[in-house]
Parts: sequence; structure tokens; C-alpha cells
Amino acid sequence: MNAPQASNPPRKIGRGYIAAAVILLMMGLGFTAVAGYLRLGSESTVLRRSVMNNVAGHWDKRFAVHVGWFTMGLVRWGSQWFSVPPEARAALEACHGVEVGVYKLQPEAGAVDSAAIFSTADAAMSRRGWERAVCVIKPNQMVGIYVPRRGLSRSSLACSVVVLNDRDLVVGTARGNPLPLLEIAAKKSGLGNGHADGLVSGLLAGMR
Amino acid sequence: MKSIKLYSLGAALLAAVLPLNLHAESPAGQVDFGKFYPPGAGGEFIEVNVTSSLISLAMKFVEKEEPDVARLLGGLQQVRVNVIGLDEANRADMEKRVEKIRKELDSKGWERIVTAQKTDQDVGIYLKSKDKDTVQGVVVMVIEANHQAVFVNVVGDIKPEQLALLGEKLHIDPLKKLGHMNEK
Repeated sequence: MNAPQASNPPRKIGRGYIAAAVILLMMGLGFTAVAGYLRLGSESTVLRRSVMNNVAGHWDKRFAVHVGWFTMGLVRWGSQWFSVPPEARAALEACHGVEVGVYKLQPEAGAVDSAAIFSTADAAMSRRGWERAVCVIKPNQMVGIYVPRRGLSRSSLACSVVVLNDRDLVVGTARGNPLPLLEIAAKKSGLGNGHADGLVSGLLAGMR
Repeated sequence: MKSIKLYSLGAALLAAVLPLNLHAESPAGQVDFGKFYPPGAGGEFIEVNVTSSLISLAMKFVEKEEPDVARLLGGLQQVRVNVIGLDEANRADMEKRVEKIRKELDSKGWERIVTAQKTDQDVGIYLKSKDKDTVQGVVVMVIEANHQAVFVNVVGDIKPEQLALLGEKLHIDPLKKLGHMNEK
């Protein structure tokens, strides 16, 4: 009779390795999350590049912050335990994600060609499914507002903005549900709930 | 064999759909003003293009409280506004362009509702009507000689009695006045 052959026991991975891998993973996720707060999303980046690529000169980054839906959700959830003014609560309810970048153009920079900036931005945003709703160009000032071509609804709005005021550039994108803010605005102005015909007229206000 | 049939079906569908897309025409009330460029001397330049998705969104916001406005917005497809500051370099070009658009509108059956020419201001309002009860498009062109040129095109199904409301909500003064004249 042959004695049964002893099989090799599977190699066990030490608990220490698993713990180290988990810690490394958590650190990696933490760094990514922190880096994410300081990095603009794609639409704002497109607008920023459209300006910077068309204006010769050096740009200094003042700050850039990106607060996404997860963080805003946490803040909304956390705020329910505190007494928060209704306006601030409405703003928290309305905002599902926001990112803003502020940059300064150094004095030795070249001339600003607003038409070229908008031409570049329009093409790049159009490829992403966004279209320009408003463009205002005045001496030393430029404002552009972009909205998605599809997917806009009463409770889900998104818009990207680029503002160049003299040498200060601001780009930003916001996503959210504007209804809580509109309700607050309606109450404050003494109008009925939902009185918000200002969307179109507001967009056209620059005409006046 | 099955795949050949599927490819044939796909090709047939494409052949059926493509010509439809190629022949998709812009709405009757839409006018192509052409591309505008900011004045060279750093003058004012405003371009607003409110498309159907934004208009239907605006309609949803007001439908409970302001049904009249919601009905008006419900008929609209596009609102385009261009304001171009005038200077020596672009004034002649803008006047030529207004003249060209006027001729084009006349030839395409647009009705000239208002023409007001003063020394420093030239206002023209045109309507494209489907029948006596429906306006398919409105064009407003204003040239203020020393200041700016304004081009407005509102596209959609608009009742004549809604013109004043349209002018009021979009802050188009000539249209507001025209609408009130119609009401009287």
C-alpha cells in the first residue's frame, strides 16, 4: 500500500501584507480625493485652456477648487444636525457640485482676442455636447455661459461660465437643482412659489 | 445568410433615413443673420442664443404660476439676439447687412410690420405668418447710428396676441409696442 502523498499547503499571505496593502490603497484614494478637490473638471478646463491658449502671457493660478456630488452630499447630510439659515440650506440643497478656478494674467501679456477665445471654446465645448447660450464682450471684459445641449431638466441644471475681467480669469461649472433657491428667492421677493420667469429674460438682460 | 439579411436591412434603413436628415430644413421662422464679430475697437458685443432645451426648461418653471407665459414659451423654438457696438470700421458693413437681410426677408414672404427711420435710428420688424392666427417667426433689426446694431430672431408658433407678452418678457421694446398696438 502506498502512503498518501502529502500535498503542499497553500501559501498564506500574511495579515501584515494585507494590512499594508489596505493602508496603501486608502492613502492612494485619499491623495486622489484631495487632488480631486484641487483639479477642475473637464468643462472648466476646456474653457480655461481656450482663454490661455489665445492670450500670450503668463497666468498665475490663484486657486482652483472642485467640490463634487459626494462631498456636497456629505455636507448636506451633516448640515441637518446644525441650525443653518434657510438661505444657506437652500444653497446647499441646490448645489450638487461646483468647481471654480481663478487665474491672474501677468502685466506683460499680449492683447486679448475675445473672438478667437470664443471660437476655440465653442468648438471644444460643442464636441462635449455643450452650446453657448450667452456671450458678452465689452472693453476689458468678456463673459460666456455654456449649457448642455441635452439632459437639462427642472431639477437638474448645469452650466459653465468663463469670465475675463481685465487680467482676472474665472472659470467654473455648477450642477444642481435650482428649485430650493428659486423658492427662497420667490419668498423673499414676495412673489408666489415658482415665479421664475427670469430665466429667458435674465439671459437677455444684457440687451437692455 | 442571416447576417447578410441583417446587413441588407441595416443598409435599407440607412438609405431611408439619410435622405430625410439631409433634407431636414430649418424652421420657416428662422433667419440666418450670418456670423457676427466683435468690433475691432473693443466695442460692445452681445450674443444670446436660447435654444429649445432652455426654453422648455423655462416653460416648466413658470407653467403653474404663469400659464400665459408658459404657453408662449411652449410655442417657441429659438431666440437669438445679437447686439454689436458700432464704430467707423463696422458701421457701413452692418448697414449693408441689414439691407441684405431686409431684401431676403421681402423675397421670402416675410411681412414688414414696422419700419421707422429717424436720423439716428432705423427700426424694422418683420413677421413670418403661417396663417392669420399663427406667427412662425419674428425678426427685429435696429440700427442706432452712433451706438449699436441689434438683431433679434424669435422662432416658433406665436399667436399675434402674444406678441406684446413676448416683447415684455424678452425686453424687446419695439415688439412690446407693436403688441400693444395690435391689442388696441
